[in-house]
Amino acid sequence: MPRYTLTINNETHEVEARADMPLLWLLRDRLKLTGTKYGCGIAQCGACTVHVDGNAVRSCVLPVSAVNGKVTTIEGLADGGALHPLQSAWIEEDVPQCGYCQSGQIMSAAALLAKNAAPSDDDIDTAMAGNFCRCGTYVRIRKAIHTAALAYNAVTEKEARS
Amino acid sequence: MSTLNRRSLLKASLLAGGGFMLQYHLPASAQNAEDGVLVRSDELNAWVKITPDGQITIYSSIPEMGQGIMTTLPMVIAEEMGARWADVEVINAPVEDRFGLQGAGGSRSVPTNLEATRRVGASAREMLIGAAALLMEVDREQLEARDSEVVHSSGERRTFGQLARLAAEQPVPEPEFLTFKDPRAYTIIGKAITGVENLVIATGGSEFGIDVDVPGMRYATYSRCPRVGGTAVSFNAAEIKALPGITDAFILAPDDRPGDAQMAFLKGLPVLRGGVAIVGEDTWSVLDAKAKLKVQWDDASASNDSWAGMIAQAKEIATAGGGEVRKDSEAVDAAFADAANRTAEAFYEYPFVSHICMEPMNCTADYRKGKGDAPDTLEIWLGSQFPAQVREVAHKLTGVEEANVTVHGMRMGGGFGRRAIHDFAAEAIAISHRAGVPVKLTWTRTDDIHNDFMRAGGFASMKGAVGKDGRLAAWDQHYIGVKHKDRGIIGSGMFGNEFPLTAMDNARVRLSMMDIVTPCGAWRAPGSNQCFRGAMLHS
Repeated sequence: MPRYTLTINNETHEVEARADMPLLWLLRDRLKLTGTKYGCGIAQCGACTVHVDGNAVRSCVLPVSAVNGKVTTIEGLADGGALHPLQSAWIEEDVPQCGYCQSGQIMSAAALLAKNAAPSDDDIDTAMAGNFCRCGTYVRIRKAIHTAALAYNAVTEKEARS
Repeated sequence: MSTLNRRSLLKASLLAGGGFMLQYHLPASAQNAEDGVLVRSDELNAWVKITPDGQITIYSSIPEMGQGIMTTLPMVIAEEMGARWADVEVINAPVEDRFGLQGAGGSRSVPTNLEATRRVGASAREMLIGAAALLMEVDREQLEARDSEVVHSSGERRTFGQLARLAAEQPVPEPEFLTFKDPRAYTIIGKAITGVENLVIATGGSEFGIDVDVPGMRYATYSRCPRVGGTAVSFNAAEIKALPGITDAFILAPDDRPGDAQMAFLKGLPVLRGGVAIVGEDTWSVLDAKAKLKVQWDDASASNDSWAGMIAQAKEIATAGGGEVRKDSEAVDAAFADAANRTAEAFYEYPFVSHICMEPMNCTADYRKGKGDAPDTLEIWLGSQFPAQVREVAHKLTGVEEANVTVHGMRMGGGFGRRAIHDFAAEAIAISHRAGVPVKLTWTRTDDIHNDFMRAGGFASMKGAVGKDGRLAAWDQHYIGVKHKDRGIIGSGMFGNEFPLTAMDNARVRLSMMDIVTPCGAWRAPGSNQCFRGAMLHS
């Protein structure tokens, strides 16, 4: 079996895996990073969303052999002990119901905020259109992204000044 | 219930280290109250625990599937106790008889459990107050529990942690003497309290059934006959077993011993459908092998249901008339014949739909053959709306005594009625039993949609007449639903008070039910999720 060196949540992993194994199953079954969820296996629901070099990708259809960059999963989104502003907003706005889709929702939202720190409702709807929520938490998801954007910008401005 | 000593319902005990634990003590049914055999309880199902450092632990015993019950019922207990919410930690309770009926369905988690939950909170409060009265040497009437403290009118106070040891020794109050807090004094109920698992969800740490990991665990898929009731005759076993990462592959025969609790849904259907199991080292290997599976099915006696066939049959029934008459007012035909009335007519179809929980069906089962004289055991992890029922399914499939079946109820990525039926658990149990290793069975999304216990589809042939005054003058409806032979299907049919049965004088309502084999089940408010009446009224 081929070997791969992957950087996941800033840690280097040497893994042996079939070249066609989607990143999702490597994360879940081999590395026991189960925050990334299986929902459909065909990139239709967004539950498996992770970042590769900051871009939101569907890990259920991304073969390990095609991973070309640093992987961040929901477990690695918080910066050390500090939650990502989206995670805080998700808690504060009480977004989750069953919670199953929320890792993917947060990862898609994080990729959006990194590129567009003040998204409009339309920007959010477009960026989040590939993430299903069977409980229908979409309204709170949008609200939490706006809440997080305010905090996100406050942090970014502070960093810029220092 | 007559012989039941109400006081026995709540039992206080002292924890090692001086804590206080108030637990529900299972009430025995009337016939076995004397010998103390513990049976199910609808009303008593949680624990509250206070340790000397002031930490309050509340066990949540009702399955959580997104309805928020893991937050709601502990809020009620904390409110009645006078606890500060920040001091409360909520823990998912194990699946054990002492928690009573651990089930969630029919939107009844709160109404079913509210009274007992309040009683636990109020009992804990009274015992804490009793302890404080002893310590402070004051009348208990002068004491009040709030913010995790018992406070005297003089301002003197003790924390719940300080009182925990002595509180455990106080008599458990008789339920009839308990008083409940004035809702105007609520500090927790009515506030926007956020979900107790929000943090773990937002950081990817929450454990759904699909996230379970057991040492030595293998991964499994199961492929059922595409037509319900068929069985597997043979498959390309040599090819499948030679694929990378595959450790085992075998046929399972159908099993129709689902257990009484499942019978309401499954009568006449095997809980374990005939099919082919593939076991391997990771999910991807078994998914890949499943895609390469070639099975020879025996579907000679399998379901012939088809949606097109049902539509054709329903239209025939609608044209032929007849059916069971539920209401037949005399002036219906006259209203339709009256040229002054406007009329509308339509034939409605509403489809069979799957639940499609975000978390596909899955179950992890660990069957262990007993060494020597030791009994066989089974440990099962799954998201289920009624997890305790899995014990009976497991027993019937494997012979393992129910007492030796341990079930772990995990947070569910949606339930909607789908996780009230344990066909996926039966599969995982049978696979682990046969393979002799712990296995996690994960359904693909295709499995999930195809093998659902669907919301029953149905039809309605409808006519309405509206008079010059704009009011409904007559309503003529022929509802055409489905049934399984001599048995109705949940959600198909009409409730006795359903429009227009009681709401309109001038109506004709008939019912016809067609025989189907397709498995159906409860799907979010069964019977209330059909839209044809609203659509017709709109027309």
